[in-house]
Amino acid sequence: MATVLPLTLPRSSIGANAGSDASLTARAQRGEADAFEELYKAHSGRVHALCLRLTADPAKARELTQDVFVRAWEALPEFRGDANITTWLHRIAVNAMLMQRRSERRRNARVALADDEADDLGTIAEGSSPPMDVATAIDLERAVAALPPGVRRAFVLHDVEGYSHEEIARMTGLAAGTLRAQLHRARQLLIRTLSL
Amino acid sequence: MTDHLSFETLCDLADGACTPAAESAARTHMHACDECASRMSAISALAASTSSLPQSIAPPADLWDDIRKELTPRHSFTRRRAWAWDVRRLVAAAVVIAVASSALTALILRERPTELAGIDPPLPTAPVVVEAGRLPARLASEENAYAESVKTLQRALDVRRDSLAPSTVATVERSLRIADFAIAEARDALAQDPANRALAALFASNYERKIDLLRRATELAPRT
Repeated sequence: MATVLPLTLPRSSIGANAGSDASLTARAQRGEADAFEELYKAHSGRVHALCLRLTADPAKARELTQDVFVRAWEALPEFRGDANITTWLHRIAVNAMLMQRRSERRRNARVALADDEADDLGTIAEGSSPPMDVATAIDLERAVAALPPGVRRAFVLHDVEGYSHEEIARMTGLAAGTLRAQLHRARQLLIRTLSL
Repeated sequence: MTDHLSFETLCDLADGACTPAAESAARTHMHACDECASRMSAISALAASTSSLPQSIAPPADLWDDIRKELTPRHSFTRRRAWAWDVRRLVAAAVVIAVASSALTALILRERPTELAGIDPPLPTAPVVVEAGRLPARLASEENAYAESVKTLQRALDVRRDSLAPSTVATVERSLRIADFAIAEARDALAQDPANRALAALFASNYERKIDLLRRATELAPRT
């Protein structure tokens, strides 16, 4: 499924304010929803970008973003500030996405209709054509959105978000070798799709 | 030049993951090999494009309103008491659905069905309507996905219904009513306490049990 992602904010416009975050976090931990709303305003763009790229589906990304902030609110009393709150929110987003994927797989397995390995490495066979709308759209976001879920996750977390292989392995439970292979596969598919 | 560098090696080179010796050898090779140099350029071009992607994408403007509704006040004593009262009904419903599942298993194994009468809460005698009401967005979406699975399996069961013995059909339908009853109980509780994760898990689990019941019902042997 290829999706046009609404790109609205350039990378250069993002400015984190650690001091303000600490103060807002402390207030939100005491239960002040207004402070949490300010944290939401400051960080929802980055969280939503991650969710959009991981899911490649605006409706799912909306749900996932919502889920991330509801989980964050519930977990805030335990947040000790030893990690940057952006990193912490990203971790919640990745975990929520992985839980959602596992839940979808369980459902699909029970109905036994879907091919639950559809996102496995090599789903797009060597030499096969990428989906038509991707082939005609020279746009990296759309090409990323059209990647099989497993390789897309590896590409987004490593190449877009900058996580190391080890960090991704810890988050996803996948072997480092598998992740590396998924990442290479993603790059191959993107280079081919974008005719680089 | 026939021994080209592998794509993996080129990626490692781009990621700075090669040993100094391997990097030196690869660069020497690329000086003499246009094909490998070209593939390396493509990897670099992809990396450049990727690094220029925006880090932030604004979420829908009304998303905060939905999130705000799901934020439970901290230290909500009254909510906890209400939940504690509800849990007895919910546990009872979960027990009943488990018994219903056993009844179906007995049917599949051609054993005497588990006795369902006299269970508290009383069993529903008419079809239970699982009404769509106000659920948090993520649960509503999850419910839609379950509903699709239910619909598919229900269609498969309807096709086979005439080949099953009437007593088998009666047991299956009763089991499904029980499943709907348990789903409705969990749904009501969730409507009152939408952020409760234990309730959300119970709600999902009840749906999964219903799907399991349906799936197994479609596998029942025809009457002989």
